[in-house]
Amino acid sequence: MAREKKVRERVNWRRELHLAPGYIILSLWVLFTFILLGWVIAASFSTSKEIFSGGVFRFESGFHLENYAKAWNTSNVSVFFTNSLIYASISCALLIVICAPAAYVLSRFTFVGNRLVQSGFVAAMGVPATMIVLPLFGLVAGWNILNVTLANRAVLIFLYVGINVPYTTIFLLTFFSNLSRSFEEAAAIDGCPPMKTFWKIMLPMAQPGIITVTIFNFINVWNEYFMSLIFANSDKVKSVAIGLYGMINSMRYTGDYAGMFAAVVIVFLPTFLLYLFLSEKIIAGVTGGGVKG
Amino acid sequence: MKKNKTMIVVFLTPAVVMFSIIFLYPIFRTVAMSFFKIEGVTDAVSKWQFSGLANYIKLFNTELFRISMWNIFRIWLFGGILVMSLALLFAAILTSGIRFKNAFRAIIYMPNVVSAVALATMWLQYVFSPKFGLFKSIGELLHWEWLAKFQWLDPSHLFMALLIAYCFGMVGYHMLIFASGIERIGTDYYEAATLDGASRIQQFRYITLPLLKGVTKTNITMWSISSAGFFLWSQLFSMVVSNTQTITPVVYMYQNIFGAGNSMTERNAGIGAAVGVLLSVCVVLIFMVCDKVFKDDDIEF
Amino acid sequence: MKKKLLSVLLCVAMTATVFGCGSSGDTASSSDGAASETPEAETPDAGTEAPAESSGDALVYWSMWDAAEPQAQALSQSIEAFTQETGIAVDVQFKGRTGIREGLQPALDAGTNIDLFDEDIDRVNTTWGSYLLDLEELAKANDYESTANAGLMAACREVGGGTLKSIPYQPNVFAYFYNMDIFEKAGVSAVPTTWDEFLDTCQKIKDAGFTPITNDNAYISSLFGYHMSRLIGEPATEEVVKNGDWDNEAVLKTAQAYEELASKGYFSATIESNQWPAGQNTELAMGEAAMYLNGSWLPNEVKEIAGEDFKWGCFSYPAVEGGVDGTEASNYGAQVFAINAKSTKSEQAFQLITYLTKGDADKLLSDMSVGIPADSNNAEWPALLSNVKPVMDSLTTRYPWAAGAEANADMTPIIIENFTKLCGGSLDAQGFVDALKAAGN
Repeated sequence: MAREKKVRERVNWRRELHLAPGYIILSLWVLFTFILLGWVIAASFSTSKEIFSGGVFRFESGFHLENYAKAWNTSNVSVFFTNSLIYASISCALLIVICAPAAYVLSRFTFVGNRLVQSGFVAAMGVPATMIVLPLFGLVAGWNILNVTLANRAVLIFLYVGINVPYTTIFLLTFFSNLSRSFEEAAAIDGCPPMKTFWKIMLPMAQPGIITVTIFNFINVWNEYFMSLIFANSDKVKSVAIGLYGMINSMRYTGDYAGMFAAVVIVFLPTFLLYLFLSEKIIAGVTGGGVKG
Repeated sequence: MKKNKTMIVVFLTPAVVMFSIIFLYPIFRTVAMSFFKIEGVTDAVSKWQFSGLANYIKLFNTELFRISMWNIFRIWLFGGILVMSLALLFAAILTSGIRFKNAFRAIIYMPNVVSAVALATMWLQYVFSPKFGLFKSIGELLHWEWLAKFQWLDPSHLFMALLIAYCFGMVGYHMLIFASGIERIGTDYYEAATLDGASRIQQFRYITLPLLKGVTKTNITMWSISSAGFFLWSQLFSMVVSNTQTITPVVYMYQNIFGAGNSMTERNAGIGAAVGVLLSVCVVLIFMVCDKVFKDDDIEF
Repeated sequence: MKKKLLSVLLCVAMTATVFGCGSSGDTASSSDGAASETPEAETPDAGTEAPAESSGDALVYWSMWDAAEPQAQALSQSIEAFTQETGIAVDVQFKGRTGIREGLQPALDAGTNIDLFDEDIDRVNTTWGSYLLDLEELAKANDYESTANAGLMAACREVGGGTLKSIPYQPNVFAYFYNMDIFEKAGVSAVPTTWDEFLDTCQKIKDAGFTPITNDNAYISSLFGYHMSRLIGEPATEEVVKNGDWDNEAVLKTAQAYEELASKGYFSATIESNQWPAGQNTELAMGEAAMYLNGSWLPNEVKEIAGEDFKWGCFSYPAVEGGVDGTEASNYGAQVFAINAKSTKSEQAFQLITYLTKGDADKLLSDMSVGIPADSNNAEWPALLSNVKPVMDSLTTRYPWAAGAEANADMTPIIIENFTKLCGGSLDAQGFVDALKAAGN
């Protein structure tokens, strides 16, 4: 199918010409992005002196791989990575299981309290994290479970999920409300019970939305800083974001900006690869599902 | 109908329970705190001093807080218009059947994945630099004097610099939401329209846009929420001490809870709580207005 | 109609829940406060000495440093040596500045087991003052002060409300740091001690083709604070800032002094655009600009850029004619260690503090982080800071941060904005005063 499309496109030059303005706009933006991110990557191979004299792209003193060695060695990067990977994957899966059904009924049915729940969720997102996280910590720390590694991890995952519930639900609302009711009607005529209809038919149809929100959730959890900072009690359970900020701050206080950018790239790469992988999935999901993009 | 009721309960309960556990207690505590004078944010209730509306009155009488509200409004409105139009434009181009769609999409979204600390440092110390900045070099290359000489980071232009840097990163995020909305629209609409001789632009205007109402609502809601919580970029654009051009309500709240900069200033978590309450109210209001403007009923397909 | 009714109902329900739960929220948190205090009071009672040793549970130290910082590395090394010598295990948590600043108080409130922690002298003593153990007796019993910096110990007592609640280490001082090579090239033989000498110095540096003064947004308010405090003293400056008494003639005088500096072209041309660390990194460290008012941490922060052969000079903010304070007054302070009042291992904690702030451990910290040693026996300072010692030794009056210019958080950004414009020449002295007045208060 993909190959067929390519062949067709290659022949159709008029169509490509038609799209030319689009290509130009996107290419300019992409070029700009490349310069900016390229600068970050180039900076991670240079020295602080070059960064602050505008000579990042010239590499006059060669490539400084030692920035990476230093960033990697000064903290427990591999432990942080594993932790974040565990937290993010479990949280994302749980979030879909919890929020997709809720978003579905909120978008489909009118019932007392529907608006209240929606407004409550939105209001919750407006409250700054500090006001949510610190009182919660006061509660949880009183139970004296944070000193047990496994319990501490479980608490963290529970919080990651809970804190993203309003966001994920509100996000998915529109994706369900825009799906045609005719699918459910058809399913009902065929004798399919509503709950089964949801899991078998509606959920797969909302796939673009679900995958998009999963990407966002994943990156949210991966980059979540404040809550992890307050709740992660020991080095064993720390996430990448805390480790990264620790590294970044260390480098900044000592004026080692090249090292700081190296730390950033180390943390950025896996997230980016994951993103690439997930975005492939979107395409697969869209073309595989009942709806076509 | 009865079946629907059990379904509503079963489907909604987990989310509502999670929400209640995590948010209800902190939210009510925050609302209550906003009527008290409290030094530390975790102080026991016995240390709270009731002060009625004093926190709110003080907020409205403080120039700096008013400035912070004005800043957040500017970010929300101008940034919103900028980001939404670019995001919609990019999403439309991406879904128009161009090649390298995946690559384009991945690259445009990429800044979202990079740590904000690195991006802010890059903008401040490289792109906007008055000595060797990217914009300065572009200005010199094209012989645009005004661009080469432009002082992005002085007190009169810092807000604009912040807005540009922030919006650059946010376009990809909202573009993804728009794009997944467009992708969900059935191709048969476009095929029918093409048969009727509608041009691409016409198709966009008469098919895509009306069908994107729901997604636009999501986008505006999410944009409002991220604006309300605007904090990290503001801090990164004014290290150590806050700045009139970049201060936002959450930064102001932060100063009242943890103290400002290096000096030991008065702390009052009650004021912080009042800021939180005001922000929440704003977000809910925007959400309600959006709901009214983008009614979903008239979308049928 | 139906919708309206529904929304009214919802509003009622909302307010009802807010009020209903508002009070229940209160009770919940008060019982929570009680709950978190009881076990805290009980655990120490139940297991005072016996389990502490036998189960080998360690001394818990929450540190303000990030693990990758040289300070953290030096402390880790010393703590390892300490454990080997004494057999006391130490659990160090490198929380970083934000971790301590945002997380310490909630953790202490929740009864988390923390024996000792550290942060800036003012923050520890004022913000967390009520959590601290009084150290007078421990210090006396261990004869701590025989080799401590007397001035800093006095400062600790002053901010501790007359009693010793914290032990200083990593001292720092706030002053003008300058590039000695530029001074030499400009023919400046002695550091300026008065404002006239300062102007003269600036002129010579300018004539030699360098930028006399630069700064960044992060520190620029100090220029204002120090000048004001030289004129009318720090307490008066703080009053002016807190009460918004911008009609005080010292404000205008200060503004005029800086208007003169600006009009003579003594500031960096990009001073208005300098977002930290642009000024210190691209101008001072690169050898373009000569002077920068900052803390003694500066040479360490820019050492990678400035290079090893950069010669650092240092002088206290010059005295102003007819002013109250002279060069003997400035902000100096330290990071301090403090012991949690609820700690059951205060003796061991103090032992650790003593170990870390004296002798070899202190020397190691000073060397690795290019910082000032705390032990008065460690008389040799890191080479980069050798010229800071006379300044530090000459100080007798202690200013708080920014000499009071940042005492009012609601005004700080407004002062900074307008003072930056004043230094950049886009605002004159009267305009500066008017802008502050307009901001009200």
